[in-house]
Amino acid sequence: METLNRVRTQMHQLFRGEASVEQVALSLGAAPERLALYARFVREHVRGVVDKNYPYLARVVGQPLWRQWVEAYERATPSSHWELNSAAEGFPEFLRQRLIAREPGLLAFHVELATYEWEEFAVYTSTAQVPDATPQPTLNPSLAALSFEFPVHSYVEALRRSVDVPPLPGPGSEPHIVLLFQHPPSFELRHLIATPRHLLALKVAQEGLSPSAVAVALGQPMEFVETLLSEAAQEGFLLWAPSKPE
Amino acid sequence: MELTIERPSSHPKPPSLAAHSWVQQGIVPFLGFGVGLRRTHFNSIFEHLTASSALEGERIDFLEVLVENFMGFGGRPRAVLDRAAASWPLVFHGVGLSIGALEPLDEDYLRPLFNLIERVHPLWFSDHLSYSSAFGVDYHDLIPLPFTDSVARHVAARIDVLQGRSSIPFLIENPSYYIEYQDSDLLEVDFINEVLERSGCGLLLDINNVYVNAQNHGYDPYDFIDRLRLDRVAQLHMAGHTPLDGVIVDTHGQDVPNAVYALFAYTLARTGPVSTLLERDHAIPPIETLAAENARIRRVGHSVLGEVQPWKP
Repeated sequence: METLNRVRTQMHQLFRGEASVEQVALSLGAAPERLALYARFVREHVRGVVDKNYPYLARVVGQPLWRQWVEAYERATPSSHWELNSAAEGFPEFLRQRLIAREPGLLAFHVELATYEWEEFAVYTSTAQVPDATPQPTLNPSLAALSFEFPVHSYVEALRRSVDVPPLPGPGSEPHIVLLFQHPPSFELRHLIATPRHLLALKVAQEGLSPSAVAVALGQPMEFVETLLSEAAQEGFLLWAPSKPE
Repeated sequence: MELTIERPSSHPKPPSLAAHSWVQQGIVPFLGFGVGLRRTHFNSIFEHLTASSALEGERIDFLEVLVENFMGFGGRPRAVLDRAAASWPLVFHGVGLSIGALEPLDEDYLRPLFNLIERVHPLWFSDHLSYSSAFGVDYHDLIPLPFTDSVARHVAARIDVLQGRSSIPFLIENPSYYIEYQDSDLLEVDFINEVLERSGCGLLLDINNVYVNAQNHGYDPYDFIDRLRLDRVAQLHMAGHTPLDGVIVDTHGQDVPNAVYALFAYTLARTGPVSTLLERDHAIPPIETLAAENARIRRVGHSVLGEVQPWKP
């Protein structure tokens, strides 16, 4: 296996930028311009998947700053998993570290936007199994409740509607919680900005509270709690199919 | 600039090959003519299934599933895959097995692969005769292996392990490659034959890759086909390619060119019926366009084979 080991070592050094195309070409007896093609392919796979997973941040930032960040990320973060998208998972954390290091042009909002975009993919592909029967209010197992300092969800919605890039939210924006989940039974990705009613429904499900106990605690009729839970089930972030009385 | 390669497509079929092929022996069935299951067609492919019943020539006989797009994923991808499995025969194809690597086979890859096989029961699975990871890094590309006897033995031993753990046949695909190593002492075709001989696995013969490699490395693709162990061919790939920086790159982003069709017909005359898949991974057109190209492949196939009916579950 000496031959194979030498090839993989040289090729690895090429891909990681530890050896030049000319050095590797000489060592392996391969055409330099074609070796360069492989180095380009390998780089572009990771850069391309970052582009694919963060389209809104790329739009907001604009070239060439975006390219600068993506190339720095690709150089610093070798892909260590067979699933290509996972090579883009560390990008929000990479930005967070660069923000701490006061990267020029990078804002806290950008980091939140990147986090939001990754979570969209993570929830869309979540393997959480939705149970068939849910006589008790149950959280949709694919649900992610994400807390943001900036109105990221509203901003993304505005981006989706417009060809222009809207002005970034300024300081003093209202913090909010976004609910992301696979909507049963189509598994389409859904987003909601959590309202107090949503949060109350989440609390009931998460803590396993009985609707009647909640009604008593709130000083509300039972109908109020049932409507609250029914709405949440209809939205899809909570699963509830109460058994009908005989 | 592509070289012009000419070979009459009416060469008589060698009499002994088809009779001993994997398809003729019943190791794998002839599934007809299919396409890949892609996210962009998650809705439209099911609509096409119904529409094409009235449009027999543009039917899709089977689907190839790129396993990395489904392994470890739930939600919509999994729901669509389950529905596809109920509607078509499936075959699995991968790019991340890294069968030529020196590291042990990646259990984090094999576990979800075998789980998915158990879930939707494809008829076989395939990956490339190359490596795609080393030193803990995944390159997400097919890095060519040196063509030597010892590397062929190394790969065959790993395929043996894989086959020992799998409930379905495994096929190795001839990849496109753009570099040659000075340490290679076998021809590409002899390297492939050696791996097939030693491992006993099947061959997914990518016709476009044969054409692309012949162009990039200056050999005759018809000679390559003549010399290849065609009895092991269990599936064919058809695709298009793109010129880039002085080479022809196997991009799967264009229509299949006529030269690849000619090589396909020549090959099919020697293999007999083999399940044939149209690959499209970039600039993916609407399902109707893909089905129309699939229909062209079927017509060429029928012109060589006659109207052979595909196997149905």
